[in-house]
Amino acid sequence: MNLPTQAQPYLREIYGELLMDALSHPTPKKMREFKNHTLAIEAVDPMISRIFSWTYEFWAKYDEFVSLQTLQEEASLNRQAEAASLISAIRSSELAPLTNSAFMEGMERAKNLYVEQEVTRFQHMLSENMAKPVDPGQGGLIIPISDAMADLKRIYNFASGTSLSNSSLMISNAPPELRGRKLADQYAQIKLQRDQVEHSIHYQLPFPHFERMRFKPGNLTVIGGFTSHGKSILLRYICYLLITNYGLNCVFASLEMPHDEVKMLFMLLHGNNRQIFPDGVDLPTELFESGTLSEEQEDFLFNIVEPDFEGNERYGALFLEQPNADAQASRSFRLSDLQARVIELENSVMPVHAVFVDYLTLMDPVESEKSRSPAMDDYNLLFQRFKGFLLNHKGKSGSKRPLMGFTAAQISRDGLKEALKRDGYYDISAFGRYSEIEKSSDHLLTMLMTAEKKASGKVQLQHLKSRGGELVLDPHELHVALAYGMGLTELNSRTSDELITELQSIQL
Amino acid sequence: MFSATEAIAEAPRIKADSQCDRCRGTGVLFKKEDGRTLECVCVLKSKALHYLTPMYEHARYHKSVDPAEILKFNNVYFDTYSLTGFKSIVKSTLLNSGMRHTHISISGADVCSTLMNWKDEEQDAKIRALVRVNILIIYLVGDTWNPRSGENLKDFFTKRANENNTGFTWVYSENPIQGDKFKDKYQQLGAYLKIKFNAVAK
Repeated sequence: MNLPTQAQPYLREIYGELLMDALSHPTPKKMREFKNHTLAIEAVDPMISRIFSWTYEFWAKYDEFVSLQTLQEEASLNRQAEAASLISAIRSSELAPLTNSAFMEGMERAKNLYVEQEVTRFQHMLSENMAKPVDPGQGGLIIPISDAMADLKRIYNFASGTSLSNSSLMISNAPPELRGRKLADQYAQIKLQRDQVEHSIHYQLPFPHFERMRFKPGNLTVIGGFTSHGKSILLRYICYLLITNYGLNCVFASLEMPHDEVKMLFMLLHGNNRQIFPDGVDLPTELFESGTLSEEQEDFLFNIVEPDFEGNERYGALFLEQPNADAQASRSFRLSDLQARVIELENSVMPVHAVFVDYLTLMDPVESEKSRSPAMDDYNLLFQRFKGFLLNHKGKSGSKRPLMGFTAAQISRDGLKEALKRDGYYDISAFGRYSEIEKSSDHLLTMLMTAEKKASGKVQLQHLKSRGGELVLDPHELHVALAYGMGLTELNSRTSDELITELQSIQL
Repeated sequence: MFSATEAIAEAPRIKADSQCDRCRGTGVLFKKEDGRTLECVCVLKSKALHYLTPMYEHARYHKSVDPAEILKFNNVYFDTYSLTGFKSIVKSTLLNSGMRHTHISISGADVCSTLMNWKDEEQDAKIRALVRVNILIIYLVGDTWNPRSGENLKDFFTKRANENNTGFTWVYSENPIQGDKFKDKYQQLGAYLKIKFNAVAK
């Protein structure tokens, strides 16, 4: 790829910033976008390209974003791999069983062996590639002794599967190995964790009033509302958003609505999304359900919308689960079934990032095979276990990778009445039926769609709880395209001048 | 003829026009140019008609009317145009202000009757609405003679001025304020308003 020479420094700066952004706030979408520019980046700065490619491969392989710490560790991995074999030899022969003093002695020997081996490798490499005299004292690949020791200790811990010790001797002249971790290191780790929390990956709704509300991995979001007030609409919409805007893979367990209907609604939601298809044909739900779509609509839906939703590599994948179409039988679907499904998907199909359950209390909360009627505590326990499942989920690589979880909860008629008395403001006590909802959830949202609001295509979204984040204080109205796949939008306001110009253009 | 219902732009039951060519009944428009999602013009039109109330719906709309020339708040404005012309000016002022002001149109007789029957909660709410509304339009048209009308209206103007110092009161009379017919009906009201509120008479 040929680029004008004078443009390269600017491009290098831009790509450098993009790389830093992709690494410090990684999302699958950013990764994919960056990947699409690999050729251009390679032409401008091969180093940026190499760093990124490595990060991308790590992500593609393990579905995890590499941290700076991992980068550093990975950089010394080759050295560690070689030293590990030495440690292994020491452990299995002369010095087993290991004691502290034996270990130190072994380490000293390993260190010498290791350094010796490194020097040899260094000499060999230089003489082979550069045919120049070698002076190991000049550094290069030679690792300082203290670094080598640290590496070996890490390898030992790894090989033995246990930490050496958590004790420390706090006197100034204690040998380093007995002093334990330095306070400065301990603090550095806290700072690192703090930064990771601040800049951790998060997802947000595209509604102007709610953009400071953040969903993070491990979060449980519960959407409350009276029956037919739009809980499922919001669940589907968030799921769709995570798939298309953020490229995440989602599992949607529909325990209330039939599989085909939910699938149709997802497709119509996509087809009627004018941000993605600005010149698309409108797809009314009613025409689909009555089988009266025009040829143009059929062509658009089946040949453009559906292939795009399923095949666009910028999007994540949707797994739609409906355990059983029979409502009575769906009671037997349990959280353990869902867990098994997610693990199965994770191991054989795709990494899973978010789980939606519409809705959780339709599951059978009793895991035991003995039949008994579920008690209130069983449902509370169900919410608790769902939260635990989200937090403790492990990726295919075996490392912890929390999931985002979303579910809905029914608010009683009394709860609705109370809200209507207060100008449509729900109180957190509206979730009082299951106390665990309030405790386990990270976000509590409510939807209010009275007959009056429904007639004008409006629904009111309220944010009642935000664990460790900002709370959106007042409820706000969203527009819901009830007849067109039920997409949600918070309308932007016209400026005063725009409004007056618009009014003057209308026949009034 | 007159409605004391406070008119605001945000009406709850505004529906999109299912036949609208622009939004096809969805009520929203996506603007490709800036990525904003806006309310469709069909909804805006319905809102405007709701805001205007049937009273001004069919009046002529003059796009050139500058509301800043008229809406001098904490003031009382007198007009003696033809009724049709006055309604047209009111409509144009309300729309050209971007529908941001609440307004109530009421006859002088209704104001007096509300004040005199000030007993229950409902009446109390009506009085509060008349006092706090941004633009109050009082029509002194066809009122039957009542010896206390002038005094009652004077009391009301004082109350509104004390409790809502950003309100604008617009009075329409079919008779000139300084004329004998007006004086006969409302006694010293015209002179009082002119002195107290520096009322502009046209």
